[in-house]
Amino acid sequence: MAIRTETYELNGRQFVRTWSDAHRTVVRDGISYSEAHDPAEFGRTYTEGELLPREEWEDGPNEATAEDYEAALKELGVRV
Amino acid sequence: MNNAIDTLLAVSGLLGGTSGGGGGGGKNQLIELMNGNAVDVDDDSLTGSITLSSAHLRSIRAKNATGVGYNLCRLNPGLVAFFGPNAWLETECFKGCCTLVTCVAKGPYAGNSSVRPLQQYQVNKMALTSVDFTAADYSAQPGTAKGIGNQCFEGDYKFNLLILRSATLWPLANINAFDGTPFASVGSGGTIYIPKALYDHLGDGTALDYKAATNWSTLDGYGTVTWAQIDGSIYETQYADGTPIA
Repeated sequence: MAIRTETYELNGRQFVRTWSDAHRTVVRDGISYSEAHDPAEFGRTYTEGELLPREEWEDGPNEATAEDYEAALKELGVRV
Repeated sequence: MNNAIDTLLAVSGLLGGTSGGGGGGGKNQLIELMNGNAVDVDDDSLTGSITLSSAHLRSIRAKNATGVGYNLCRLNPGLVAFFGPNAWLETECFKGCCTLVTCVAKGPYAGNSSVRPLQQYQVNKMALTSVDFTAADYSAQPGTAKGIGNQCFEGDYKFNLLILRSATLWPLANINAFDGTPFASVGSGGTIYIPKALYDHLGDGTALDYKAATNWSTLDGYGTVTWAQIDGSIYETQYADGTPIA
């Protein structure tokens, strides 16, 4: 469980997306965000905050899909 | 506006507090409009957190109300305009209100989760065009997790005018607050009015710069937002719905 970041470009400008892979808010200067997008030049850092409500969990690279579960079960020898 | 109301029944305290705490503990008032002839409510005696219910309600003007109750709009399917400059918008109060055109309120209620006061169910079928958050200081917002929450305006596909009167920069919890609006990445664009004191900081990279602020900066990156200052504009003397500012 950790703060995750990824850098991307938007119209020639570098941004950093920051989120928690534990479905928590990210916090900076006492303000909570469910996901933070910042211009890269500011180098902003965050800490993990409270757990987000279940309905606000976004599917993403860290969210296991049905296929992930099937693959994991197959590795254990389970026929799915 | 005149109330063509045959019978008005006001019942105080029946609801006992809305979801989220009712914005300061004010009385909840359930007003049931009888006989179906009323289309407008304009009542300075509406205080606390209000919940109104009528299939025929077209506009609500409640300048002394301090909150708008949960799911208000589901009880008022024809609502076009809401004027409550002292009211905090509680959980999902106008969610799904596909006829609402203007909303003047103090701001959204804060909470541990987003409260989605203006999120819509049906994308591309909404009427909302302008929102005026009148709070002079966003930090007075009741509840925790201050700021404009997730999906606040999601789906309001005509929403292109936002007025933020707070002298301090409104935090934006997630850029998805503007999904499906003209401010979104593929949107046609909209205008956000802010106080001169914040407008003067645009682009300077300080903590008062909306163009550098978390998530707001993404709108700037999309190129869909035009920033304007309230001072010197028509919104210095009137709210987004045209009501003069006293």
